[in-house]
Amino acid sequence: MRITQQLVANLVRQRNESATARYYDVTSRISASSAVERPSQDPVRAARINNIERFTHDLDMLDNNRRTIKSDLNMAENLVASMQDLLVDAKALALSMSSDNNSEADRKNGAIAAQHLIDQFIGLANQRQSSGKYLFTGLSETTPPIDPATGTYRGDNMSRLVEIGPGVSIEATMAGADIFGPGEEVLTSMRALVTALATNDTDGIQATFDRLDDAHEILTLGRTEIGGRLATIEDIDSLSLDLRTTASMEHADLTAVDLSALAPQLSSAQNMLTAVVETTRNLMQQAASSWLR
Amino acid sequence: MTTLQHILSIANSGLQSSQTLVASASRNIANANTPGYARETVPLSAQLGGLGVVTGFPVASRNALLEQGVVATAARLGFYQSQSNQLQSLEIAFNDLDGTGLGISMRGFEAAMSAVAANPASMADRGQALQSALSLATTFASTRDTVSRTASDAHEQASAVAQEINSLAQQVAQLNGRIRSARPGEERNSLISQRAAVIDAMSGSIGVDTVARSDGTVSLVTASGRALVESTFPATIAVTLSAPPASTVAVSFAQADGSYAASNAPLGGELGGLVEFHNEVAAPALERIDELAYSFMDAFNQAHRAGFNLNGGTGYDFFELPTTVTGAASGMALSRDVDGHPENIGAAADASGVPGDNTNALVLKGILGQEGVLADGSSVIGAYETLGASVSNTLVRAQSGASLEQGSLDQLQNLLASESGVSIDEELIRVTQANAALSASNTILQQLQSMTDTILNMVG
Repeated sequence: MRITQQLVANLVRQRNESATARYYDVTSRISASSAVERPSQDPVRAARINNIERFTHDLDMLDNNRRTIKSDLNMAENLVASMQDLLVDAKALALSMSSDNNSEADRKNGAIAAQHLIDQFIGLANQRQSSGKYLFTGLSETTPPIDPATGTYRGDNMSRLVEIGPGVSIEATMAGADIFGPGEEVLTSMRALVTALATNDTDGIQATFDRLDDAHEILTLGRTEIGGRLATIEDIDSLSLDLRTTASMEHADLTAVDLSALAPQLSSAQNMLTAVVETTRNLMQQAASSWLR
Repeated sequence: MTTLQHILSIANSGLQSSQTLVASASRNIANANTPGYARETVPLSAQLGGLGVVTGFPVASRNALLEQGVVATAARLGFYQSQSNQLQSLEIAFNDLDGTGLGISMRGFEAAMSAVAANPASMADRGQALQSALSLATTFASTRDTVSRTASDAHEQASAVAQEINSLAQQVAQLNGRIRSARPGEERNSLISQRAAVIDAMSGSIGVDTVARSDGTVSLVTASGRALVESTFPATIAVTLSAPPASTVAVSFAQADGSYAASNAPLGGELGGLVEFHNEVAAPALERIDELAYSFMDAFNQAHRAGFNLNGGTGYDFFELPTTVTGAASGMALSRDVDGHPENIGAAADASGVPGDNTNALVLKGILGQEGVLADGSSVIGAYETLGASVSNTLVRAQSGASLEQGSLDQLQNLLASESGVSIDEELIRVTQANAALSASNTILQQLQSMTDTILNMVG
């Protein structure tokens, strides 16, 4: 092969371009925030990163759903616990007023106290969540579940399913039947106590013992249901955390800039660039001195 | 018998050839780095009867095969490089890795609808869903704008390249004319070198075959078989853009009557790359983005109309559906029914479930990922990801092609430089040889003079 000026110039240019491109490539990879900044750098890896980010995004949505439901359920559990306390108070009142030692006037005062317990119960049942919705009203979330005037249930018994984990949905609402009994037994038992006390009906008062116990049992079942849902959410929280950790690790593997691998490449690219620059300088000097000769 | 005249003739031809050799070497050295220049050699032969040396016309060391190889490879490189440059711009529109792409906005909208489904009575979540829809509309518009701008850039660049090609074709035709009438030797070689440099400059812009004619002229023929230069007649090309919705770029050749005839054949080079990018990548991507936006809005509206708002009303559109698919991505907007009225989002599937029913909200949340929303059976998200992957893969192919062709071009240019290039060392040797020949001729002349003087003295 003849060595011509053009050939030397070509080789110098080509080597310069190659060394510069390699150096630029390595330095840009080192300074990049991610190993893959554009899909064309590595389409397969980019697709995997996108899939992981989409999966993480789905986890975020489910986390958000769980947070919303969890907040509602925690509040509902506290309210039901307070309702149970009211029933315990009602039962204690019934027990004390069933004694023959109480006069009719005592029982009328007891009826006022029992009515006060009902009012408190309705106040608890009609409490709203911070976003303004009612909790024990099925899907009628903007309607107070108990009519304060009549003491009757005004919600519905429908429910809303919300996805809280990959393929896992739970009921996010509580229908009146779950808390107040299918026939509103909780409130009717308390109202029966008020009536029995107001009419000084000792047998009637004694008859409310079982009804108040049954009502307490209904609330216990409701509370158990709420507790079960909260437990499911806790389980999914834990599972979600595991999934998120795995996804994060895989994401980090795919996007992390491997400086330990790039450092030798940078050194090599720098050496190559230096060598090319040195060679170019030597060739130019030789050409100049040869020409001067 | 050798006469004095013979000796004088030998010395004279030696002097002339030495002068020609030195002049040739000087031109070679002077043009060592001139683009298109091929080194000259001077053919020398003995005169009949031993009367000295015959100096032929300087001959340029050209290799037509390698030159054609360089032109063809440069065209392929120009094709891939122009595609690669355009695709890099287009890739930005589909890059979700930086956290700003359309895919990210789609996820944001899905998340907002998911929040509505989890809490349908919440006005805050409903308001956020409307905000996310507006954000999605903005991203659809910006994505379309980027794709549209890339397509426009490709068209404008193609027009600029076509003008440059026209200018270079004129230069080739003019040089053809001058070569045809130039004297053989230095003048013609110089013109051929200039023409080679012009063809070389043109080669990256369009794919041409060089057809040499016996009169020294060349014709440049494109892949479609149309002549870009026919001897001394240059063709004129123009780049045109058809009206929407097709909006394809075409390259037309000027006819004798002044009209232009479009050529659909691939042209190669930067021009071919830009035209193909526009017609095969950017324009279809633009259409696809519009189709995605339109089909999504249409499907979302259909599902939304079946839902019930917080007041139990039904039959409301969510988006203001454009009248045509073209431009749908840039005209995405909320309908008047829901714009500013989050209560009108139809989250419930039944009036009796208002306000807590989320059945329809779950359907709405899934529209972006629902198969069958687009005419080809794919989902909006799926089609968007496929489109982005297609752009990236095309870019990877273009970059690989450019890299491969760059390697081939380097090799061919090196071979050509080795064969046709100037070696200063060689030229210095030729000058030295010419000097030696000059010195020899000079010695002969001195001897001749000495002999003549001796003879004249003897006679005198």
